Amino acid sequence: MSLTRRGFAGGAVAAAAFALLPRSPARADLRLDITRGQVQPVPIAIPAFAGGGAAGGDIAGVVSNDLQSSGLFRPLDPHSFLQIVSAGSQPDFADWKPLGAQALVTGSVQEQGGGQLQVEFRLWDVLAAQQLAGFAYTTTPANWRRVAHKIADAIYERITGEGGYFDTRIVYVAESGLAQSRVRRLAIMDQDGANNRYLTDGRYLVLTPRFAPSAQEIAYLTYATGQPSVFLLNLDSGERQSIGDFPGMTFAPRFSPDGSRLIFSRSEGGASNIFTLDRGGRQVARLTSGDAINTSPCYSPDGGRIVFNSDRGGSQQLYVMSASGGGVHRISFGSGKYGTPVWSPRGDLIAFTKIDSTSFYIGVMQPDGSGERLLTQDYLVEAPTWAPNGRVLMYFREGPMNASGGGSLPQLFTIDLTGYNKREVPTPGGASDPAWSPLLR
Amino acid sequence: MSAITIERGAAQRAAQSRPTPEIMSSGLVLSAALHVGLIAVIVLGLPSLFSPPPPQETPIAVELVTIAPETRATHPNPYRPRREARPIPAIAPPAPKPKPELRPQPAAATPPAAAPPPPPPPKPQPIETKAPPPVPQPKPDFAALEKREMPRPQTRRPDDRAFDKLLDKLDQRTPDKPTPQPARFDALLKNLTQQDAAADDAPPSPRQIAAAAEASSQPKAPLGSALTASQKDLIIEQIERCWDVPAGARDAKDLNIEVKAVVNQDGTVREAAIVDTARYATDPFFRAAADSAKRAVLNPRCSPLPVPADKYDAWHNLDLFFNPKDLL
Repeated sequence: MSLTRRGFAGGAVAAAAFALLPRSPARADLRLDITRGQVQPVPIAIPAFAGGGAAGGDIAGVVSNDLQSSGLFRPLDPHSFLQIVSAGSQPDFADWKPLGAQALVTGSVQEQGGGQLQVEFRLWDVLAAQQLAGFAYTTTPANWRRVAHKIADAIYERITGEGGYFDTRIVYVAESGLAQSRVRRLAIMDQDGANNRYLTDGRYLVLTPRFAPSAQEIAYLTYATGQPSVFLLNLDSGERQSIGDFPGMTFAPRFSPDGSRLIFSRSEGGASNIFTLDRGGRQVARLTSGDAINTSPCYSPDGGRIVFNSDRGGSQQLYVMSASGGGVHRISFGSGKYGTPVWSPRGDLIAFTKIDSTSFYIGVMQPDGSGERLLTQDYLVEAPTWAPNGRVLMYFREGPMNASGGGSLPQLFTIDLTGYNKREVPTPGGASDPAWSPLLR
Repeated sequence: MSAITIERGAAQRAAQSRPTPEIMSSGLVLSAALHVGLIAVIVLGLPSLFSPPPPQETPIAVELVTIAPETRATHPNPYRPRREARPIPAIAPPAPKPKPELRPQPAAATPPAAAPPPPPPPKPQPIETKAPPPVPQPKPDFAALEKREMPRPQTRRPDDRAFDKLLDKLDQRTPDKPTPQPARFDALLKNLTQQDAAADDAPPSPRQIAAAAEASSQPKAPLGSALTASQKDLIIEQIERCWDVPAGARDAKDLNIEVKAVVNQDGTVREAAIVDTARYATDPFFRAAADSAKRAVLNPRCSPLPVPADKYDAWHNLDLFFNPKDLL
């Protein structure tokens, strides 16, 4: 009994001693779910690239402008920078954190033998103190803008995880003069408005230029032969050629995603129908028939389907069919008219122009017609074209004509899919019918 | 007879109900006096002869302390104007004017006296040179662009590692003894209370009451005890403030980024690591989003974390799951 009691007492003492022992830390991780964030541009510091004289600052300026135009980056004021970064060494991140920079771009420009320019850059994560990307480019000095766009693309891809679109070009219809005597010329420029040059002289009306997937060729509508017909223009050689003699007008051309075919509309009396032209064998195939106006065809990025607009149901609406012309079904059911559908390069959306009794809209919907969203509205907005990454649309806007027949010339704008980041694209004069090239190679 | 009786009765009643003038006047006076008294009592109230005068009202200082200003219940306004929603600014900002000669010397060039100067990082050397892509035809404006990947320099300097070790040591020591700052503060408080006690028996000031209440209403929780929901929400809300999610990203709802973080006792994040390194290496979209999550944890704008100091063991290791589902 006493033994038991003593044992009990000993156990109690032991238990008390155990309780009094410093407990080893539990080290259980605290789990927290972060389900919200801030949709705001990433602050990024882009100091002038070292070396290369003015080119160092110019390249940094182009990179900065590209990233800012995307709406996803906020380049910091270069005057606030505390240090000069020498290329090739790790920057002192303590100098960049107080500025609020999350990312830092350092780079250098070196002239090499043979008149070549070597441009290096590195992208740093300021907060994690590590390099995120780094590339070097060798090119001719005249090509420095393309190098800057490529650097901006690399930064965009690394920070957002999506493809960039800065090393691209825009072909468009440059417009000048009054509305009655408007001169329209084909023009091409970099995506940011630089390096503008004209491709036609303005003697004939030109409309709806479209890039081939190679970005080396353009299909467009011209009145050069007296009636509207589709021509091809080789950007390298400057050579122009008709796609062939067809009865009636040909218009609304586009290339297939692999570039092997051209799809277009042809007028047949009061009707219009959609045809494809195999560029190798020059065979023509009919995809639609009937008395309706079927036009503005555009392939899906996989080449399997075609979206177009048609008034076969009474009003102009969007329809999708297979690439061989079967399985036509309507996808737009809203009020008003729908036109100029363009399939997104990433396949998830179709952009369109919508017209109701009061105004024009640029919008997007899913390929099955659901999820319609209108991104912008104006007196006249038309002709959406996608950036290669499928996140930004370019279109043109034109104001009303005044009493004397004059009026505002059309202008190019970009808007991103959120609808918040709308920007004017600088052009020397009026501009309409833009077409965004694929990424240059 | 009966009429007489009635008359007599009536005469008697009349005689009874009609008092003599003397009696009538004294009754009237009494009645009037009583009525006046009653009205006075109603209007003025009963005289409080024996109760003490009402105490003079003194203003009481009240300190409003918000324990958890934000909880999960409060959603941010989805319609707030975003930074990028500007009314079509000009696309070309003024060209940057780099003036290297005017800028201060880089701080890296003058290392602090106490710390040994960091060894110069290795000069990166090109590893791989990509040949120019085959161009079908020589084109003037598509000049060959040779691209090669830049090697990654050593991202951590040797003294960083030493600093981490130092932090580890500090961290091991700190649980044993209190940090110097709170100790000094306690001593200061003690001194103040002793002074006050010695000075007079005056009632404690509201501030002292508040201080005492704060200490007693927050019983010191044992080490390792769990955080309350609002304490967790404070931390979550702060990290969410610093997570810049790329807008309009495709398939963002499928993102699940786990970041493990080690937090110092002062609430600053010592290190953060992305758990799914396999997906990080292969999926560029995941990699970009995971980096943004890691930056949110490391962002000095949101440091230190609002952690309760007495539950260090509960939040020393954080397991953070990032998913922008509430944003979409």
